[in-house]
Amino acid sequence: MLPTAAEAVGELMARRILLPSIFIILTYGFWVSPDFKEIAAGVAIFLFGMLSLEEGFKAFTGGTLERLLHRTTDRLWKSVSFGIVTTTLMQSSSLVSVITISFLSAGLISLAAGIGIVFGANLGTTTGAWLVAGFGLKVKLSAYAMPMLVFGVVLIFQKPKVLKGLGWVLTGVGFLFLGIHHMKEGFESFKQAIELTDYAIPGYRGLFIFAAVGILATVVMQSSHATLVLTLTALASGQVTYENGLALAIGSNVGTTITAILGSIGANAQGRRLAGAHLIFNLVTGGVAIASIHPLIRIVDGFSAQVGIAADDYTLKLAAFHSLFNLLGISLMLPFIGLLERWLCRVFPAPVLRYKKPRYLNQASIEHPDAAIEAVRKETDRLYGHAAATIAHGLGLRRELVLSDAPLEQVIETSDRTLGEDLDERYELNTKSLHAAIIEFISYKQEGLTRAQSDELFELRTACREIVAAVKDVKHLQRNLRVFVGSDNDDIRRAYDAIRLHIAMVLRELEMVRSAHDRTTTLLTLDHVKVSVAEEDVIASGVLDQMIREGRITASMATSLIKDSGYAQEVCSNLIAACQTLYAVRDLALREAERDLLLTDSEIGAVAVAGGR
Amino acid sequence: MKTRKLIRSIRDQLDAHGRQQRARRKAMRKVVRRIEGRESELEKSLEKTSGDRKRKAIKKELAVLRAQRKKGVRLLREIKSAGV
Repeated sequence: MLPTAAEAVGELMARRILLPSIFIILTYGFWVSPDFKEIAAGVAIFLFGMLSLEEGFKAFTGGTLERLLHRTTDRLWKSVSFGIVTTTLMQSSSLVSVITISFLSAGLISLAAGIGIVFGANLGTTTGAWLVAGFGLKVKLSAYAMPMLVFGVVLIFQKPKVLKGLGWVLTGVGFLFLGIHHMKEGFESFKQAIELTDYAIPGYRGLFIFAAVGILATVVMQSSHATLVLTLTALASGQVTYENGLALAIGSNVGTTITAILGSIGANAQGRRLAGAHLIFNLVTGGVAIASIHPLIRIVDGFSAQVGIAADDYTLKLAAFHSLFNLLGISLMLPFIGLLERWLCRVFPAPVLRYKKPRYLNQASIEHPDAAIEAVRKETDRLYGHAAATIAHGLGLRRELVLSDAPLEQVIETSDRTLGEDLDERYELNTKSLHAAIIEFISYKQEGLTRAQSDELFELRTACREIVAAVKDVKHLQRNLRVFVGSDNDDIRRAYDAIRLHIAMVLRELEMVRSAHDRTTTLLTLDHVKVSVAEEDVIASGVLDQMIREGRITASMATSLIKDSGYAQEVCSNLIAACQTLYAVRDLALREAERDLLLTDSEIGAVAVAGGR
Repeated sequence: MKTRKLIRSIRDQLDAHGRQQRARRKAMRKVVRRIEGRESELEKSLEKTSGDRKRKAIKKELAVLRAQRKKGVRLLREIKSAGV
């Protein structure tokens, strides 16, 4: 789940080299030019504004965005539209990409839907350029920024989550405006000292060099938005030429894929496939934009003339160019999404799983609470599956027969009575390792959860504990089972066969619940399984007393049977309790209502005694 | 009708506890109705089923459903009498 040692070392080395280099360059820049200081401060304030916006939107994304994501990704056009709209609103394609990778890794959306969202996010992000070019550069933004910051900070200190979130959003927008203002001021003053257009490089050479600068700037700042705003402010003050500005915009588009690639480092195969799709889309879009830059410029000029954009308003024209080449990229790539998906699945194959490794728990799925919970739920379901197989083997039964329609008495009768399967090794390899991975994952995801989400994770952790406890009880049970299932004493042999039958019956019932598509009554359905468990209690049913009285079993056999009946009851109770958590209906109100109606132990006992009359 | 809805909506906004109880009662009613539906399905199935073992299994499930339904009805009465 966490980055491997090699990945961690790589990241550490990059940080050790990159970070000091950035500091050295910045320090030198500040020493040489106070205007550079203002521009850099503007960028820093702008980036902080984006962080604040992300923080603000997280407050609103607890549930709403995820429900929307589920409903709007069943068709490709819906996925693309979702990407466009959410990125336009949040002004951060990185946040949308990270959420998408997180959901994809947890298996909540398909790869095609994820690719559609990423394509849409690329187009949605171009609205930022329109906002800055159309509004941001034409007015005194600091006049708007100051009150926003004040009101935003006041709201941040409020207790309600919604107000806090709103505060962060307002503060974020305020910082964005302030950042743009300082970048503008910085470039205006910078012009007095140095004319960057003297260093403009015409032609395709300039195109490639400035595209590379755009990529580098985006990689360093981790934000294509920041690079684009920097480009727009530089263009507005005449510090870069229009053609070089277009190249910077193309470069920023390509550079943004680095965020997605970094985000996929801790992801599973699906997450890496999405990052691959993102990279391919941006590379293709960038390549097409560079190759057809002159026709694109002509189209932009024509469009600008139509909509009333002045011929020398290069900032708006750059915004139009940015939207146009992303739209072109979507039009080119959309028909090939199926092909892309198949190719990505070939290049990033899902690893052949060994039972001991988790499938859904990874760095990407931990990023978002709902994705993390779903990942834990799926992994716990997987843990249950392995535990059920281990339990069946521990009882000397073949799992596929236990879960089939064959009469269980027959399955028991024809089963392996040597019970040769070593449960310890199975337990260590399959159950214990998965359990440990789930616990570790949950322990890392403790922050940023609502009360309901925390409770859900706690219940899932309890379910894991119940499943593992069931396996351990079968390990204890197996000791005497080995002795008595092959015994000459018919009564004790039948008593232990009854224990195996009892547990097998519960496994079968639970598997039916597990594979049921309609989960609307599973919580209550398990009550009748509990009644069956209560009926099989040899002590409560008086069967044991009768066998002892009639001398059919020895006292020593009786004590073993009492103990092992207890283990069997615990195995069944734990498995049922775990399934009640795992396969309960998702709607919170319905789940609470079903919980209220679950029969208590005494009510179960009463129904068992009444015997279904 | 619209006025009643408006009043209900304002009351919901102002009375969080009441809103929770009403939501609880609504969910409970839904579950109880579902149980009743399942009960009547099983009763019909019991009439058509022969064979002791199968009949016993259906009767057991019916006994559980009846116990759950009775519990649900009792809880609904309690919530109602609590003034919701």
